[in-house]
Amino acid sequence: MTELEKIGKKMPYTLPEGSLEALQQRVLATRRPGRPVRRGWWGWALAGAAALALLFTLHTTVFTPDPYEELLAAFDALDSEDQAFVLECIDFENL
Amino acid sequence: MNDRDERILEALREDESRGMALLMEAYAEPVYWHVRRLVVRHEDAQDAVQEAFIRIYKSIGRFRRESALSTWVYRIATHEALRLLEKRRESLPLDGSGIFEQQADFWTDWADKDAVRLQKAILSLPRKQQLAFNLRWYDELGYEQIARITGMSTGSAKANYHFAKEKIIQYIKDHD
Repeated sequence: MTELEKIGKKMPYTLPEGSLEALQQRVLATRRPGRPVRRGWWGWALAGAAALALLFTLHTTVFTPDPYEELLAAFDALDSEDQAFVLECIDFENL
Repeated sequence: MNDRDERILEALREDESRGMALLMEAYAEPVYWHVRRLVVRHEDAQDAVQEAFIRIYKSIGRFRRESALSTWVYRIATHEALRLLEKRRESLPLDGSGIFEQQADFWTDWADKDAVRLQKAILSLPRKQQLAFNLRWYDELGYEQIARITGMSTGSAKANYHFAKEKIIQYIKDHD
């Protein structure tokens, strides 16, 4: 038997207690992108305000020579969750 | 794909959080030790493993079953460990076995001299040999899986393991 076989899989390392559980919690606390978000009241308020701002922009830009530029800029300024919310809220056919 | 991995993948399809919890229960510990053997310091291992599992969580929907789940998990974790070592490259000693002494922290057990000698021997090897040896010796993975994790050919994984083992035996003899 070689020395290596005698040592086997022993390692000179220890693992602080609870560190893997804490690691698991930290990983699970990160959310996958693209998954639906549960909004608190403030989230709905922010999204609502964003929707109103977009509607206002839409109305004020619709008669300008190039209405889409400002509209798209305003829409682009929203984060992806608010964009999704706005798209759900606006009745485009009746604008 | 073994039964456990099938259950994990099924859970991931039904409820991502529960599936991810199962995946971490199965792999967090072996992956942590795999990374720890490469980076030595507990905090570095923890950071690399956390980063690896966050990457896995974010991209689990893109897992295409082209390899075993364990291969995919180990490959991402290995990549994170190597990325961390690359960032530290300039501050690490050129002599690989010196890495152990430089990086050893509060969570290192110096009392077990044989185990210390073995880790120093492993860390003195070129990176591919370290990977092949660790994955075979500690994780008992097959050469084909080692090859998939490390990006070597199966033959190269086998050769790297055997070279590594011979060198480690010699190192242990020389440092008795």
